[in-house]
Amino acid sequence: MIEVKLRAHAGQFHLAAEVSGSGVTCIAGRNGAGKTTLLRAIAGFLRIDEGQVLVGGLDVTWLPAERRGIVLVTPGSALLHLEVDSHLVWGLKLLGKQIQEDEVSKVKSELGIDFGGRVGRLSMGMRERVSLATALLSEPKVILVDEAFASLHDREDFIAAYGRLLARAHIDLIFSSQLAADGKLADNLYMIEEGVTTAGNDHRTGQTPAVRFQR
Amino acid sequence: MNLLRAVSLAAVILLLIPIAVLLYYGLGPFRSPAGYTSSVFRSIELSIVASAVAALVDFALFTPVAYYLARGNDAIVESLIDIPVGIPHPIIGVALLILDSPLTPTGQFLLLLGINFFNTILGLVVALVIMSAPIYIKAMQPYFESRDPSPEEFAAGLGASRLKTLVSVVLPDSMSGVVSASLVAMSRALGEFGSISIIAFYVLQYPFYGVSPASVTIFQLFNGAIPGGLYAAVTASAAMILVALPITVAGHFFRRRSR
Repeated sequence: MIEVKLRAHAGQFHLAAEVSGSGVTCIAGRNGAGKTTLLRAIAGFLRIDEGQVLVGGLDVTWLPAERRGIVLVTPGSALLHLEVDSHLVWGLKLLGKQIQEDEVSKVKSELGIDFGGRVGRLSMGMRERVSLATALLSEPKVILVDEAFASLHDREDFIAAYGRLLARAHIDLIFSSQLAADGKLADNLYMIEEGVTTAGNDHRTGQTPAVRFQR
Repeated sequence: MNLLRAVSLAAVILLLIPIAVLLYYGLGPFRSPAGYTSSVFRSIELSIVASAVAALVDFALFTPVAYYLARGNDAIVESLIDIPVGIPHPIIGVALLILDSPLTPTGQFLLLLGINFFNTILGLVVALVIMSAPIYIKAMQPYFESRDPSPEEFAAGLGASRLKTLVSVVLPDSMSGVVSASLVAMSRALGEFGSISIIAFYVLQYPFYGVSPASVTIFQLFNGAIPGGLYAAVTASAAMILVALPITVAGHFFRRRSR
């Protein structure tokens, strides 16, 4: 469960966002609507002016990015100097977690990682797969995906498979998209326009988000 | 645009005329055997070794500073770095002398620990580090700034500290930038004269016992340490330039590659 209610600004751009949900959440909006700014604020790379970010009920608003349990994945995230296999377990090793070989190979086959070699030599879509799989295997609380599904040839199937793996590991996902139609791939849909989010309909439960700005 | 190129080229040639003339006379008409004796080459050797060590120290100590400045916004640290650059170089030599003098408490303490700067390789290297570190930082910082921060933010999300991110994510992917900045710092150290002529006019340690840094040796020759010293100084200078040039060119080569 992630609950976000915040105001922030980047230069002249103002953000007033309110997003919450478990499972897969889609934030849809056109270029410049504030999707990236919002995800960066949630991940801790943009100082917020007011509000809070709760992860599993825990207030992480003032924690540095490395202690939030939130991973931001963008098309440029991949660690280019690593081999695919060491990239996949980089986060696990960092946290001193046990590496389950069968888990790694399951994730690889589910996410279509049937290639190896140095990540810097891979195509954009391959790098995105590796970054997303690495984030998943390191078992954070939340994964934020900013446009990083964009270069995948099997985008919809991938998001579905990724969502299943995340659900099994109890990881929440928020991904940004230019298309409101992507809401059908998610449990929750939010629209964002000029920095302001509005709840789209929750097609599964019909509920609106629990957290609201006091106005 | 072609006029701009012509003007630029003319200005650069203006910059290089004295060096070209020196090379011509040093290797040609003024060539003197006293300019390439074994003691001159020992001096150049000392300068190269000390400058290389200084560049290594720059890398170890000041890469984190350059990264910190590239990814943070710390105007205070940024302006502190500029202080050694703005001070006449001999003053740095005098400062090191006072810092490590038996007449001052700091010096008494350092000497107690066996740390002596005066006429030692250590003192020479410390002076060269102070003079070259700002150059190293100024070369490294824009390199780091030009990197896409996405992998670093990804690593932070996975739980990596800033220092861990620098060591495990940024540096393995920045070797050409590091080599280039180190070579630039090294060539800056090779050219140093003011501070080292005070703190380490010569060094009194193995394997360079009684050897002066190259810039000091050339200055001594010029001052008439031996008869016909001017010719010797010109020849030694030409030899020094021939040694330093490849290092500068290599630094440039790696910089081009790193883009």
